[in-house]
Amino acid sequence: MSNISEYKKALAVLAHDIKGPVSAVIDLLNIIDRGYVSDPEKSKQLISRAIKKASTIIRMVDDILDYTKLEDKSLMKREKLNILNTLGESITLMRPYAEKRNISIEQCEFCINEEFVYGNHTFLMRVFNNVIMNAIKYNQKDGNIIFKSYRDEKDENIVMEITDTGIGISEEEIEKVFLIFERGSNARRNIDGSIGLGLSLVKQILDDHEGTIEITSELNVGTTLKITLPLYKEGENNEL
Amino acid sequence: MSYKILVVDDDVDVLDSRKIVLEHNNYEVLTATNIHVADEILKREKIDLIILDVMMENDSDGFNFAQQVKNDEKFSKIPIILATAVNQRTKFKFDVENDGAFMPVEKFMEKPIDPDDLIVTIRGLLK
Repeated sequence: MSNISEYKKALAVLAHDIKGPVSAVIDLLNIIDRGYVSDPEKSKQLISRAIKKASTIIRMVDDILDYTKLEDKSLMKREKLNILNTLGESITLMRPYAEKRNISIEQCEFCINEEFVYGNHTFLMRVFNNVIMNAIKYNQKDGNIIFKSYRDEKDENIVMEITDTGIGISEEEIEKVFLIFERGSNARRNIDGSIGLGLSLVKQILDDHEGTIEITSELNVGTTLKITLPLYKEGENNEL
Repeated sequence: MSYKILVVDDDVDVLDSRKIVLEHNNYEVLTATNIHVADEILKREKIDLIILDVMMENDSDGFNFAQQVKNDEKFSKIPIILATAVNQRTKFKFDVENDGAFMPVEKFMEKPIDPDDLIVTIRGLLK
């Protein structure tokens, strides 16, 4: 963040966005505390919902912490990394969330192959986790997520595509999704506690890896995110 | 005959919490997760009071819907409680005295809304 006024604006948005779900947790617990619910089963359901809501707040805070960590490049130790394997790990991690929402997430056949980049495993996992989580959250009921990978024409970069059958992002909003705290208006419909940091975090990490991300989308049809990272070249200077 | 209250909020946890509290107090409750559904309900049902969130699909949806209701003589008498997430500390706290001119609602309440305070406020407005 470049200056104090931007920083203050970000803090105000942050405070507002966190206050929403915190208020909902208090609402859910208040009605039990004040005796508005007498059925123990109903109380149990409301407590579960409060826990679920509170965990979205934790995710928001994690996003904020990760974002602040990105300022300190010393934390981003890079190494020779099989990026397809990292993508596969992320898919495995995200699969239960997809299944829970009845989203079919395809087996990544090519993830057993090897394509190396010079990167930080933790941060690149974060990239895939955020992107796949978005593809799950903003998907349609019974939707799909498919993956594709190939080398670019110059044979210098590895390209990975993640395509969903989701609610999509309008053309004018695509430009804004990488800005801090921005969310598409369609994204607001799937209220989930997202704080709008997810994709700006993704972009920042990819920038730090000399990579890129592009979005193509059609409203109510789906979105494809194309992530490009430079391939590791043995003997070349891959240091930061 | 019980009063009919329309609750508009894009967070289903908030909607369900309000519904439980209001039904417990013998109000009939209709809920909407966006202003389009709220508008349909408003035209279809005889609503006695609206509890309205400010930020939904768009940041000013609540304001826009409140203005739309108050500018329509068929509905302008329906009291509106505007639920806001901003507060005194941010210096953006709303109140009827200072903000009533551009936002003619009957009451601003800051989230989280205490269920007992909500009932007292509704009783006052539906007297």
